[in-house]
Amino acid sequence: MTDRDLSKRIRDLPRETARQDFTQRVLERLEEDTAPGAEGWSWKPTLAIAAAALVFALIPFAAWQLDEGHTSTGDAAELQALRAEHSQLQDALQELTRGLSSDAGERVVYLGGDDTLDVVFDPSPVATQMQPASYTMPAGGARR
Amino acid sequence: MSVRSDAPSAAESGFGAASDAALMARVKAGEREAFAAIVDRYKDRVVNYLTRMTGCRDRAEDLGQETFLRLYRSAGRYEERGHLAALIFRIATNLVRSEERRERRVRFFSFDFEREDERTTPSPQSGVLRDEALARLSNAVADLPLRFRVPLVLHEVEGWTVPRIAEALECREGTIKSRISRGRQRLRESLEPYWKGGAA
Repeated sequence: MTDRDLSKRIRDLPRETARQDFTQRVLERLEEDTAPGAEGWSWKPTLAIAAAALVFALIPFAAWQLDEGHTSTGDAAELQALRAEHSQLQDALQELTRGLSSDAGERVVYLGGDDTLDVVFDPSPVATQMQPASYTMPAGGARR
Repeated sequence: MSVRSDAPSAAESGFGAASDAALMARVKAGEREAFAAIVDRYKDRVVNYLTRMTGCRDRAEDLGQETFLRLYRSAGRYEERGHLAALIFRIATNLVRSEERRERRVRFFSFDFEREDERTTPSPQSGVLRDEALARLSNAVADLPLRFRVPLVLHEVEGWTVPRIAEALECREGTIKSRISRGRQRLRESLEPYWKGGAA
């Protein structure tokens, strides 16, 4: 079958015409579309659905936000406790330092003894007189 | 081939030989009578085009009415360039495209792959398909992919020239010629067994 034959057959298909009341029905549908309340009926449900969707979308976000706030409060309390503990430790350290400095002269190391004799070592003169060893780089700068 | 002109009906006669531009200007101003005149002027061409596009006379009637309703709703944005017919046929084509997409989705989600096609059993009262040969040809045209069907129907059924189709569909003329040719080829392939059997 050639293109010409095919075209002829397609063109020979019967031409359809619109029904008698076609225009009237279009106008009626147009009236229905523009009737008072018709337009409102069409956009109000759409708006309601959109609002509901927005609310549902916001619920997880709000829950997450609340959880975040709760976590922040917990973190703040924990930080406060740590600071208090740090402060207590700081005070205890200072007190200990003061105590050590006040009785530094009485510090001795007990080495041994018996009922009549205690052998002790008093390091305080050593501690006050000791100086750190000097350190010099060997010739050539290399460590051996 | 020229586009056939339909005789003005009663609703249109009140406007005499008013041009499309004049009528659309009145439609933009909200005149229902001018809109009715436009419907009367194009309704037969639109219904015939949609019947060939869908293969179903009743669907063509419904889609035709929707086409004109959409034309009315978009009249405020209409710019006169002498292409009212192209605009109307473009609206009609878009409706067919949307409906076919929707049908495919419905069929997919309902797993209704073996649905009886309404157009294969036209009612005798419709007077659309007079015999089996016409029915097969009409269904074969309606089964073509849309990209081949639209230019083929506009060219073969509505008698539009290739440049006019190219302008309406915003394609190059070469593309339109190619699609018409491929549409014919597909029709031949689908109808060949039947025609070879001598039933046509």
